[in-house]
Amino acid sequence: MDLAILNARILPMVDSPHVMKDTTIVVEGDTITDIGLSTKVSVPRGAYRIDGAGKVVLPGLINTHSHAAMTLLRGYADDMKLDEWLNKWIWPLEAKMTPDDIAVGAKLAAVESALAGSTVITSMYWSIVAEGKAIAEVGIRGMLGPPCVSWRSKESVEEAKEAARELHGKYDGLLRVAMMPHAPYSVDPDLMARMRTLANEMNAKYGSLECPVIMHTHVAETQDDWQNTVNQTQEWEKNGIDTSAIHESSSVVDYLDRLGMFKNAETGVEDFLGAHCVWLSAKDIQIMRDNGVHAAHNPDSNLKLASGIAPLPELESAGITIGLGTDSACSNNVLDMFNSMRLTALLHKGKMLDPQVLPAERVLQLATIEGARALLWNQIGSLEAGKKADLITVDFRKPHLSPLHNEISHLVYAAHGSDVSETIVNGKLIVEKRKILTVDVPKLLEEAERTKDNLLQRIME
Amino acid sequence: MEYLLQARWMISPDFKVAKNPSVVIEDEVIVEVAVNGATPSTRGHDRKSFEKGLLCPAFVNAHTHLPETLLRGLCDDKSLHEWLFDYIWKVEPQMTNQDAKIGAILGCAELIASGCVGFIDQYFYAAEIAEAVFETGMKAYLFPSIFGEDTIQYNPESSTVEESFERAKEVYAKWNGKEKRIFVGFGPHAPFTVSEEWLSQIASTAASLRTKIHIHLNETQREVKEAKEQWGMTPIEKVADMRILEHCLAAHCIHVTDKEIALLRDAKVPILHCPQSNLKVAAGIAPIPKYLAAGAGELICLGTDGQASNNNLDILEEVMLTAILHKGLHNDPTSVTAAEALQMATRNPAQVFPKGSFCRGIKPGEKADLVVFDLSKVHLTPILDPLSNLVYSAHGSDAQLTMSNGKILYENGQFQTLDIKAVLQNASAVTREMCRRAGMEQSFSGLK
Repeated sequence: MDLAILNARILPMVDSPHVMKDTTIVVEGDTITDIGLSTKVSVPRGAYRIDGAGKVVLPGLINTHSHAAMTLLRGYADDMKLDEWLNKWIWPLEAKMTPDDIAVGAKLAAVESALAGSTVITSMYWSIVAEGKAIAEVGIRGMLGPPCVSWRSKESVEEAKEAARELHGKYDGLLRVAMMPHAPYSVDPDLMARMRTLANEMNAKYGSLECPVIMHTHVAETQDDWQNTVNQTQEWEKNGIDTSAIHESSSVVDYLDRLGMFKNAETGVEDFLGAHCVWLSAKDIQIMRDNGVHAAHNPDSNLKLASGIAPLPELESAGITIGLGTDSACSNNVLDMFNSMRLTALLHKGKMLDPQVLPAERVLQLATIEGARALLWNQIGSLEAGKKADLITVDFRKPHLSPLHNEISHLVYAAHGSDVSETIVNGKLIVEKRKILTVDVPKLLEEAERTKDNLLQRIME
Repeated sequence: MEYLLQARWMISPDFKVAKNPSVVIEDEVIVEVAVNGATPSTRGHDRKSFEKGLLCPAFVNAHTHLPETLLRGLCDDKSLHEWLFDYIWKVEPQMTNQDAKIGAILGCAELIASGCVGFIDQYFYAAEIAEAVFETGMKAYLFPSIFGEDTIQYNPESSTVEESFERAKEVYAKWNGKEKRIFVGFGPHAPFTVSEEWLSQIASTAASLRTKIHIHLNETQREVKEAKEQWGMTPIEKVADMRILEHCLAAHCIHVTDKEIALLRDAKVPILHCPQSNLKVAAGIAPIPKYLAAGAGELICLGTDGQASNNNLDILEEVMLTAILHKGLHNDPTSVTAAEALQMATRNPAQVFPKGSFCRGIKPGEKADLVVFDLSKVHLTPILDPLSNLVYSAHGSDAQLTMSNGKILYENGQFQTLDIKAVLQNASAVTREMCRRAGMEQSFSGLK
């Protein structure tokens, strides 16, 4: 079904952000076919018309780092340090999760994302094929992969292959897959290197230049990440693994560089997205710049888990491509990219004591077009004829969005995810007037509560 | 008004979560609270049930310049100098008293829709703000702005310091104690904008009238540096030295020594803390963990500051930020708990209002200033700990009921005491005109 949003203000996010007024945008199939003055654009007969009065239309927000099914753990284990949180609370509970549980959690995540104007969710999680199906059912996009870890080396590789085979490019192109070694402290050098070659293999088999299989890893999230990696070498050496690359390196970034992780050697494409990138030296940033490494910035999670504050202004100055992310609902505790935009725009001003750092326009770019670049997903991130139709409308007829001096300012400094009115992904209307059209939400919420209760029961046993 | 409110959860006065509460309200007051599904003894009241509701004491926004809603988004991301001289001080002097009233009502609407029943304000046109509060059923502690000679030309309301002081006294006379919902003090802006003589006189008047003064202290490093150069002491120390600290509500207090924290604590000065604004204008980050460690935690009250430096009035955002910011800053995930942050938006600022005039916790005898948050939303599911969901997942817009003195101001998206369509239209219209008078039409986008 064709769609048209009429007489709206549109933020195409092409070049420097600007607002087009009295504009109509036309979607045919899954593609944007026209954007222009309402008086000039012709709307195809039979197109579903959406009144844009009082609304601002922009590209769907792109969440470049999360763990979708962890919505089930919203509010579980607040106020703890990362390694206690992971080792004592999260991983033991996750061990009890079934693929069905994960499907429920991922569906909830996709619904939450769509309602808050996110049209892409990046998820590193177990039973990723179940997650993928659930996300595609809701109708948003997913950049997905299983977390690959040393204590499940063989299974990790099999699961990664399965994910690529079952999900990459599937469901009308809604889903893509990345090879996702969890982190340097949980993935030994052999497995890490294997994941790089696997990414190349999977890309050759299932990917293309237009739809590549990329890489995604947790990079330097806490101050202890590197030391934790070094500490692991003793155990790995016992298992006959060569850890010299770690001993020769001085940091996470240095080590990943040494292993050649940042580039697909076959295609020459720099396809590495590092999540967090908080504890970086100037040299690390240089290495990232020289190797085209992308970064996913997750300020809410970094604060809540007490990891720190990433050097975003420095990454920007170095010209590194940066996307924004929410991380999981267990360390945020929502999947609301408006929150993350706001925090990004405020935090670094205060930290640097400079009110001109990261202006609203730039933050909105990070949440849209730059996020697309970070995922190497070129068909989305901006509203242009010929691009895929991933867009949201935000209703400005609210007290906290009035009066209207500047649309971009309000989106970043005043709006919430709950101000989103419509969400369209791949040309399909997923949310209309804040109602999800593709899922029975009350039923899903009940299921989520039940699933959470059963899960908690299982850990008690 | 007689209500029986039933919800699924309640934030109890000790900031724990109680289950299946029933709260009985008569006239303006909570008369009975039952929990764990117990039936209250009173019957025949108008019953309202909130199946997945979290009942909470109403929020207070502890530092606002309410009519500045009209400047929301006028100028962001610029240096302080540009912000002030090229934008704020071009448009704000054009604000008329009618504009201010409309801006204040818009602010009231936004506050009410986000679970806020009270606010603590320092601005011009305090009489108009008082009218807005009176008409909408909210509560406020208003501190009419007084600026010194150096900036009097930017004052939209008065042309001399004497005039603004006289106006403030008139507002006090007319509005202080009105229906025990509106209270008035005096708002000398800061020690660097108001002369020592004036500051002393204003403080003395406030004391004799048994009210307070609302003043900005130690907001920027530059301010502290210049105070040391001028007086050999910081603004907080200066005010303490003048023996007027005990009469103050102090906004910001960011760049402080342990000694100053002790001074504020011992003088029981409410600290009006605005974390988002402090970040946005790059003033800095107040050391809240230090205040907590020094035993000054009960004095910390959360505010949003004005709408040109936030840019909304959502106090729950400030609560969440307070709960996560210091964790990240100090690499300590136990720093500032969710419960501690929630107190700063509820009980602490309620204690700034005269005793008996604002709900200090949900128990019999307290005023019925309440908010119910709807936890049945997608982004609030599943629920493991309602307090966590409120602080780390909810927004002000999840408020489904806002009640002030037992009167419903807002229910399921409907405003009961104002016409929101008219408010939005008027706000847009007067802002356009105000910008036109300032020669700044291009800065106003407007919305059809």
